Amino acid sequence: MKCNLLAEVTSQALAAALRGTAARQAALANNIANVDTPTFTRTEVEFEQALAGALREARRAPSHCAGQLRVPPPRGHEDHSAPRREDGNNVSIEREMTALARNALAHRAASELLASRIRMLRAVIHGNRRG
Amino acid sequence: MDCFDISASGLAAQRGRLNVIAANIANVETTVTDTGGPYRRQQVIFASKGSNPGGVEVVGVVPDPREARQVYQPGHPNADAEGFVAYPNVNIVEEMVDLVSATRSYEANAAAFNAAKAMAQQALDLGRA
Repeated sequence: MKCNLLAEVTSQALAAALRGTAARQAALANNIANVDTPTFTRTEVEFEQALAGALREARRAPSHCAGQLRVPPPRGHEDHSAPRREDGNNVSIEREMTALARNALAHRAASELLASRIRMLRAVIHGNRRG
Repeated sequence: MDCFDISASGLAAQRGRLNVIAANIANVETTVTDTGGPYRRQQVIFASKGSNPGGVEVVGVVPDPREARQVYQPGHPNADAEGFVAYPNVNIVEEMVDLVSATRSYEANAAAFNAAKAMAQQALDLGRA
């Protein structure tokens, strides 16, 4: 069986998480940039549910190596649920800054895990020699 | 538009707003301008840029339509027949509040920029794992 080293489910899921957090970072940066723009509506990026669904799907596949993770690309949608200020803007800077911190940590977690995945592969290839 | 451009647009817009506030504060006592009459308070108009997410831009700097402040100063060269001088419609307290608000928004954009930079740095470190 052919098996691309980084095409197994774990690495694909981590890559999808990195894509998702990167897209969310752009949306949060845009919300923050528009904190003083009248009638602006904040954008929200949700990718966790789609990723969890794809992982459930992959778990049912016969082999983890052959399992293809089908994650739709992260997409933003306008969030009209947040309360609006007098100028019609619904960005809360506190909410955006906490979401920014949480998103940066999630991105860091995914990238650390992917890095350790790559280290494992390297250890296997080199027999745990340095370099 | 990537995260860096978006945060940069926010930084630029807030800096533009700071410039206008600085001009308002500097001209708080200006009774004569090139167009005649006292200085008029200026304000920036922000609008989000087309493609979503596309950042923010300053689409205009417009004068505040409020009336000029009338101060009784009969000895002033710009005084009218009744001895009143028209001073700019700038309220210094309002400007200071706006100044703090613009500074905080600028800092928020700088924080978003730093977060994006840290994320890009981690992505680069993947290759060094």
